[in-house]
Amino acid sequence: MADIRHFLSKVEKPARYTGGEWGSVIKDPEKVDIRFAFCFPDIYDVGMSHLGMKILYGLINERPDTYCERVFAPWADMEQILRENSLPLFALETGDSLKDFDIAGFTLQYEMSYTNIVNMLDLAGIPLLSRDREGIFVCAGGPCAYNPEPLADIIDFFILGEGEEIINEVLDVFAAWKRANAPRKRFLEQIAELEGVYVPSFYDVSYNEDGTIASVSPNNPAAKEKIKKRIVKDLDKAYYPEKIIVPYTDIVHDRIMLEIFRGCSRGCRFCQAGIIYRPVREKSPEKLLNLADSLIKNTGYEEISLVSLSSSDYTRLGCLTDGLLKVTEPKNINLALPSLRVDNFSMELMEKMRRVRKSGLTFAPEAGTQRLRNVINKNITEEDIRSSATLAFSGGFSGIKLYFMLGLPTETDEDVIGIANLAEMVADCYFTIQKEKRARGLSVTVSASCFVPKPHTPFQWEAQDSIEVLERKQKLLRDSIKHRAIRFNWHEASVSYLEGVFSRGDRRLSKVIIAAQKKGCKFDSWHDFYSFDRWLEVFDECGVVPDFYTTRARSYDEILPWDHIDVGVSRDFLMRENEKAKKAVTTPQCREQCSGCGANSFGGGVCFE
Amino acid sequence: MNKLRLTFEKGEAVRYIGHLDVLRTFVRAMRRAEIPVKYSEGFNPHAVMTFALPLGVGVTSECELVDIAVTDEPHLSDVITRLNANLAPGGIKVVAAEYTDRPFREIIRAEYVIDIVNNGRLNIDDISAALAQKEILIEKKSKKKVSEINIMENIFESEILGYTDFSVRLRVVISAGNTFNIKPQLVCDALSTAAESLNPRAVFPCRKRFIFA
Repeated sequence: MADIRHFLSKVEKPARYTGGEWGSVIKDPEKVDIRFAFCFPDIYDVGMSHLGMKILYGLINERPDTYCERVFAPWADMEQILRENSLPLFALETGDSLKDFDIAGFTLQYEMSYTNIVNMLDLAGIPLLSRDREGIFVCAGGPCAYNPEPLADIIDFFILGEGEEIINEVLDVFAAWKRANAPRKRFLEQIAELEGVYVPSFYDVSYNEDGTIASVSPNNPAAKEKIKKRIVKDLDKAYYPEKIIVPYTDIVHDRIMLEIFRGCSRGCRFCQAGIIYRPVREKSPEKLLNLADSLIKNTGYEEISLVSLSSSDYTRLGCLTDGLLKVTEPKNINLALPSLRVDNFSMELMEKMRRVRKSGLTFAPEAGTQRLRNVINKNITEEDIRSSATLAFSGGFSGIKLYFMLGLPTETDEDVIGIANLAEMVADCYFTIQKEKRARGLSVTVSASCFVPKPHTPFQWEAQDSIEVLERKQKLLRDSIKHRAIRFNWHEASVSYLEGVFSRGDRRLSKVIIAAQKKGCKFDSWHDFYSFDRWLEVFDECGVVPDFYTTRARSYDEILPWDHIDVGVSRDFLMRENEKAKKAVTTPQCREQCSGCGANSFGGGVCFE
Repeated sequence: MNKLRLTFEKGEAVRYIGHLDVLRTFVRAMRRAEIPVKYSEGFNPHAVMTFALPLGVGVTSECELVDIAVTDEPHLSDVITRLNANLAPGGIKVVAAEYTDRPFREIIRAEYVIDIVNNGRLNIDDISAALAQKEILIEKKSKKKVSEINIMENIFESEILGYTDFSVRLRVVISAGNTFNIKPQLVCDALSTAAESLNPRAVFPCRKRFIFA
């Protein structure tokens, strides 16, 4: 057989494929019972930046009976070499073929990675359909697993919720099942009984004549009516790696990631993360300082970044950052504070950021007018934005990035133009600072993505704007921006359209994903290979009308493809929020007042503070 | 401030990492090992270190040299032990440490052992004949320009260490240094223009030693 080493000098960044990094785990595969492959459906550079993988890699490898290795999607040059030489997709640690593992676990971070999953299975020589598969089990988890249906025919089982809470139970069942030499189906039945595990083949879906879902019903006694996500109740007690892999080659986020809390108390109505990670649970500053200390010692990284959905909402941020700076400053380590809100961005916080590095600042007003910000429950005012921008400019920052979305429900042209006005206002703040007191070179970047309605959010019933409408709004916004210092970035509307199809899709899309891979769709989130026309051909050939999933509004009584998945937030709450959105009425955040979303059923976090 | 010179190996596991990756790996390993590295002044302080001659992607080495500015005078054997305890096995390994001032610009040549895996059957006589030639012209690309050079003027020693029907192992001593450097891959390219049966499928060079003036 051909030797992979003979081709490494012919591919871009060969170190993506050679492993052996500091912190990678070496075990004797002969001495373990379970071979687990953590599969990330994108290239090494992206996958290695993913915090969830670091946590689960460390946690699973703590088990003496299991060896967890990493598998990434090969870039096109490497894929071609693998295919031309009949080489199978392999794991980085041992170089062994993915096909020979016991379990392949994919993480679903974004919908546009689905074709890569199929492509990786294909490269490994693993049957693409769950029902054709023997040997290896293919499972998946991560945020997109909360609507698992588009992958229902492909994935054997889904893990819903926080992996560190449940993976050991799954592996315990697997080890016992393997020892017992029981039939394949028996394992799926055994794990289907675990809370948080969803086996899609144990459910039948029937459809109405108009294409909507008539029913979802279990066809196996082991299958539950509803599958509830699992969460870690106390993050201080949960596993968090103190030693992580330090890649040789450059990756996207090459630094220590210190997760300070999970969830978000704010309840922005467009935001899926804000719902699916409920309730908010914080780690204590003491725990975090200990972790930071170990991670700095064990990795040698020159940068540490706080990770959460909204860093400035951490209740003891002052105490934490003081403690961290005491460790990082003498060692020349950068401290990065991303995900800041404009309504609690303080002088003190900015001073701390300045002490480490003067990089750009990013704020996310999301919408251009107060009315629309109320619709989405963003709960920040123009005054918040003005004062934060002025503070930042007076503190020596000269670049501010502003994130917005186009295509939010109820959006009018006035809201679109409002984005331009808001950016102008931010630019004007710069000139209110005396010339000698501000940094040179004002730059305001407006970045506008296209809104995609997500499952388990108050907007899950809403119609998505068509590509034509979005492109018109993009042009309107571009034409409305006059200031020379303002740069405008926008997203490809057709990519958001496709994301919308799979985001709220059902299991009839599995065949579309497989057909798309056969036609050559892969790395759809990369510009290099993306072709919308090719996707339209695939939909056409599969007899699937994509508009059904995107531009169609759903009624409250429609059965949604993910209704049997329970993230702990009730449908009633989502409906209430959607109705309030229509009236542009805001909802206070969890720390001010409980809105009864249902997440208190988990018995922990902010609900009980 | 003292200048600490380390000799290190770049092993098989890191054959395909680039020079900047080696540098980054060193900086992080020194931080883990708590070596008292001197940092530059300024807003983005970085470790003060200089490599003798960057090693390309795809090349291993037994003789790499790096100078590191240290604020203290750490014990040499201690530096080696601590660094190696903080470097991944099979990758980079420190083999010697000294305090020296001999400048890297005095490097004029380097010795390589090159394993070549051939496409198709190899006639070893082709290679012997090629190595005996007075002139093989080849294009040498640098950042600024492409020039034609006679590779044989830059090969000071050469020898066939072993071969099979499909592979050959060569030892060469070639020009090296920061002003004029020949990469081992270029030697292989030149030889394959002169030796008819030589058509490398893959080339695995290893730098064995530096020769100072």
